[in-house]
Amino acid sequence: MLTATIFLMSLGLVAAIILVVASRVFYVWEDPRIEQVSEALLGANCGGCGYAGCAAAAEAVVQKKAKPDVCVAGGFEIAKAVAEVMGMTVEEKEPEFSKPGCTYGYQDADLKYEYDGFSDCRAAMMLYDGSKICDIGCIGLGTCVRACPFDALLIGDNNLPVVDNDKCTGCGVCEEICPKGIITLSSATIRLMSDQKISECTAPCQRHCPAEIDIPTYIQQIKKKDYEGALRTIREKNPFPLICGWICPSPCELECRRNLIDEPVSINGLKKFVAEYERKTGKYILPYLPPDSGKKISVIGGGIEGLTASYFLRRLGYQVTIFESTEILGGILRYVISEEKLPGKALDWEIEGILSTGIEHKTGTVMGRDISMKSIIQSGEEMVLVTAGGWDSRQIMNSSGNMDSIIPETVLLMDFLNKNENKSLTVKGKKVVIAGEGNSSLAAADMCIAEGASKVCLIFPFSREEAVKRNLNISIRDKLEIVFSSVVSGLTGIGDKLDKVSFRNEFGDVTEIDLDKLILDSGRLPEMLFELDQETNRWKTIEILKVFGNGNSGGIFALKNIGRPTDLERVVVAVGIGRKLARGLYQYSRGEEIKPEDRIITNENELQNIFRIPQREKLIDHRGNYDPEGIFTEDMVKDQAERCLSCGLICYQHSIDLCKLVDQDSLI
Amino acid sequence: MKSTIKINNIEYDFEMGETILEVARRNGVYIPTLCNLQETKPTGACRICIVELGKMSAPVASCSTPAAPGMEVLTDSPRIIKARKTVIELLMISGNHNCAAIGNAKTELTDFMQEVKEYDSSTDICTAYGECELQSLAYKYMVNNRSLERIPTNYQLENNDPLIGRDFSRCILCGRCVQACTEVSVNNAISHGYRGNIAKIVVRGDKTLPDSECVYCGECLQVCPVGALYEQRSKYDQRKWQVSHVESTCYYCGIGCKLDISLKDNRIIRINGSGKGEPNRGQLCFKGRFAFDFIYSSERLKYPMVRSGGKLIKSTWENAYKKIAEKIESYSNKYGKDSIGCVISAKHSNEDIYSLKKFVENISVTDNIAHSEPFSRFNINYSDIYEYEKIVIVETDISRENPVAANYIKRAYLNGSELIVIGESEIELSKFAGKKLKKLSDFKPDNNSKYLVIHAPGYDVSSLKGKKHIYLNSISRENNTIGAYMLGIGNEKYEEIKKKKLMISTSPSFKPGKSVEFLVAMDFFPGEQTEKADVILPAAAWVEYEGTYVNAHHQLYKTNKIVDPPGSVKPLWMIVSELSAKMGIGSEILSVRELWNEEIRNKFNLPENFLYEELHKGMALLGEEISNKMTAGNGKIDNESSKIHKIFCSFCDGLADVAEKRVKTGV
Repeated sequence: MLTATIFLMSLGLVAAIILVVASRVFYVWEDPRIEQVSEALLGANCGGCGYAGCAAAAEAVVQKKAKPDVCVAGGFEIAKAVAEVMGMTVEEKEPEFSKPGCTYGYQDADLKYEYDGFSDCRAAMMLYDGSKICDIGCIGLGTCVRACPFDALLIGDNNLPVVDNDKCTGCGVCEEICPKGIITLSSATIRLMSDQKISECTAPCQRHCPAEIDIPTYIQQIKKKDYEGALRTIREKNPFPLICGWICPSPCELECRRNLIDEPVSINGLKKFVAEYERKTGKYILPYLPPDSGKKISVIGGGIEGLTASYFLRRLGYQVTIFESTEILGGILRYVISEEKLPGKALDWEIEGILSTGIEHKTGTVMGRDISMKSIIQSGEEMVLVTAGGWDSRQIMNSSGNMDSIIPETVLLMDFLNKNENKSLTVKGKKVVIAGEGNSSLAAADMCIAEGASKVCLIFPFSREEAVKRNLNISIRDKLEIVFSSVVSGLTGIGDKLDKVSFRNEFGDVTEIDLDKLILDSGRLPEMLFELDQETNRWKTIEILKVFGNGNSGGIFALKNIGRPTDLERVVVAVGIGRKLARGLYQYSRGEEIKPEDRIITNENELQNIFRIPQREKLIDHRGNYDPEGIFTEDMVKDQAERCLSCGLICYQHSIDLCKLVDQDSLI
Repeated sequence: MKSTIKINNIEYDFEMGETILEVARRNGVYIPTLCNLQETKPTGACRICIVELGKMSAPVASCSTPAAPGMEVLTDSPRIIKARKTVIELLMISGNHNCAAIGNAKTELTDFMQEVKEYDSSTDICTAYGECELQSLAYKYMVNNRSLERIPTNYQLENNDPLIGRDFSRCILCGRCVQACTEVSVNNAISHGYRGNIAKIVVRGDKTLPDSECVYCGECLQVCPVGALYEQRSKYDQRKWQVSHVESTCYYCGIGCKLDISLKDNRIIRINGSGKGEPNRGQLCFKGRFAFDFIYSSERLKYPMVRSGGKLIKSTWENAYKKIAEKIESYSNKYGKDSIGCVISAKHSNEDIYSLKKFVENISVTDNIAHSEPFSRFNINYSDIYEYEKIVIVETDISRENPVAANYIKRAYLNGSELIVIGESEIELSKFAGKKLKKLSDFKPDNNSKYLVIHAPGYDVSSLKGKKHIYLNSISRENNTIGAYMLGIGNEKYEEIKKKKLMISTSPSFKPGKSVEFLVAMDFFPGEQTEKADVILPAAAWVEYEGTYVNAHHQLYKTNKIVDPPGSVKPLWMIVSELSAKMGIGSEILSVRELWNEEIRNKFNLPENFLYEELHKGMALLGEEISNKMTAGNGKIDNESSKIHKIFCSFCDGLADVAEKRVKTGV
């Protein structure tokens, strides 16, 4: 007994000694801040940050692998506490919330079958991708609700998840667990940045809006008399609701699903109403403005495109200065649209509103005359965005000839051919590059040679065979080099001088050549983004890709439709492109690749749709006398909003009694 | 018979014979149109106004399809919109529509622009940019001309006419101009020529405009929806965004057509007919439309001139006043007050006429002021001319004197009225005349038809008076003849006054005789009269000062000052008021408003609250009774008995409101 006791005690002693020795020998120092950071974090172990848990995240923060605002769920307060531990500072981020992407629960939607199995979306998903006909319809079994670490979600009356924004921390667990991938994190900035995707529930009207406004949402808001909210929804994609309300040809109305029953909802009339409502109150509804990122950018051209890009850039935290050559902002809208169709005051109101977000502007300032690339670089700007408008707008404003030097030594073919005595356009002894397409570019090449250009390089976007087919005289000439199947892909220069142009051929190989003058065969100067380098005084173009909702891409540096800049036939198209320019620029400045998002809706996608609406009562438009230019009264607005079917991808408001009787034939 | 038609699922009543478009327009349903021209027969040429009558039938042109009971019309169905887009696209590719800065299927933009430049010989964008109806339709329906190949133009730009240019490349052959020429102004100068893809709007013999029968009323210019017909003087200059529009009233003849004046940098660059109502329903004549740039002539008199030492020397108003005052005093002392006379042009405003009359009354004998125009009155609405079965023109070349009235008469002829022309000389209307008579005594009216007799003002038609079915009318040649009569100035003493020793003349047509010793003349240009004048007063044109006038219809209207007069030119009323102040005969009048409110309004026996401010730019018809009474006898005002019983107002909302109130309250 004693022996056993002594043995065990000595064993214990030996073990203790070994442990003491081991702890001395194998001592590892742990940063006490990990503990502190861990404490500062929420401790929900939600995983929204991408780390295994809060402790792992804390370790990552201390090891500087993650930023102090790593905890997506915690928000600004937690980030501040973490930053304090780390002795760093954080900027406040716009809060993000979970946003379910489905509007019709299974009692309202069309179903393939009745599901009566294990109550989990992932299980239901195994059976023909869930019971709803809609591919992106919410299954509604609450997997996300159970997964939410903060109890911010619950399944509402209509069998769809409802988010409690007070509790939602934006951790993203729901987004990850949803088998359909339809519940996503969202914030005003995210909505601003994103295009419509095939995984989103979009109405036909919305899909055909070049500015991609969330039309069903704002009509529902108008229905609830939340006019300010409606306006905010519109302004997420379009800073000009009033102008569009007056003059948009409303492609959305052509696609309105109510066309299948009687006639479309007067979508644009509703937009005009809320915009005029705001103008009447005299108080411009400012969007959420993030703190200044300190990045400075100049926008050349104060037309609708430039103003839209500026608005969204400001909205993303940039300091924007607009330079406009005429005395007044507004571009072509000031000139070609009559006062009855678009009152100048409406234009003023909306432009003032945009400027009130903190955008600087200088009118009467001509690029190339009053300011230049060099002076912009010297003033500390980091980027220049050119949205200079077309040849037609210059003609209209009687300012022909003002544009030849917006980008140093770059001129439109039209101006070059009609140059008369303009001395700044001489090419004697110069190396000229012509980005051409038609016969005129060959004529220009001959003109250059006759004038004594030292070398002329003509770049065609099509092949030699195509050129022959087009009856172009491509016979060999002295000093003329013709490059086929290539497109200009970049310009670089130093100070006020353009020195290199690069072009890309069909295989993607980029060649760079020296030049003194660039002639572009197009109606308008393409939108271009320049990055400026203060130290070397150099500037270079950055490719911005613009992909529209309808699948076309434009811009002289675009991949498809090469060589041809975008046509901005309608103000709403300019608005759409302005936003995409801002998005591309934002992506670039964050070091991301400029590219369209994945799975966006293009012409090539075939989306689910319906082509017949059976047994739906007609609700005739009771506007009385049809006045396309008039402003609706509140009663008319109510009527119109009620006519909206608040469509989703294939769902729409069925008549109450008929919702179960929908025949499957109507669905293709 | 009333029946109902359904347009976009709403039922509307219509009367048999109405077209679908008319029913839709009446009820405010919008159907776009391009070739449709009000007051003419629909041609259905452009196919923009197509509507759907049901899935089975082909779309029909709503402008030329009569409404039928039970019809179900859809104006904006997807199928119709698609068809309209195609129509617009086809129109856009046919010619040089360079408004959209894009190329099309086969032509690159710059190539296209260079071709257009060759054609136009200008690098400017289409002159109709911003005003073009095709362009705005293309915008509305979101059409761009990219998918089809452009159709080149067959005909060259016709640029040899100083007034009207014809751009065949932009012509869409809608035929509006032809309709305007053959159905509105009925001059039959242009028509459709050739067929198929070489179709063209031609003048007779496919000559150019200057060699044609065109009378340059410019009606075609006004109705062209695109840039195919343009005014040479304002080509590329009348851009919508640079031009402001002002309403005014024409000053050439008694009709008093409503004008839509385009101003650029405070300069008149174009005049169009305005309004859809009386008197002109948007029409204008050559004079009204084109004859405005005399006011910018460099030859115009801009300063007062005084003769000294046998020569006319540029002078100041002060000097001119002094000289006139001196002479008036010396003549009235030497020869008596009756040696002073005044002839006034009936183109002056009421304020001018009234103040000059007051001045003459002071310095001379009351009646020593006259004008040369005979009294006239036009009792019916111009558009009612169609209702008369027989229209008799007596000794007046109405298409020269009052061309717009001639348009109405010619249209009545097209509607089936018979035209009888009485007179020695051949006039333009003789072409349409069913009967041509030499003398009025040859005219034997029967008792069955309604006769409208339009005679030369002052022509003796007493033989026709008192017959119930004969309606006697005349249209004054000058724009304010009636105003002058109402203010008590007639033409009876014209010949007598002409021979006074000291003459004040504001009438450019006045030819001073040998008896005139001292002449004060007011004129626009140096001429026969001013050569003999001792003091020349430069005249202000009607757009250079504001004033009120009374037209042949006895309607009162006001015009506004639109441009500044050149040099030191002043309106007559101002000159007179300054002169009388200088001579100590009455105080200086500061404004037209004062003149109207305090004096002229009473002369016209208008109610107390009929203030100048309420005249706006509209027209008020001075009631029949009042103008009858006021001009009883030979145009003398009967001050005692006249009272307004009826003020009929048109065109002007503000005035109409006031007038309506008065009619209701019986003030």
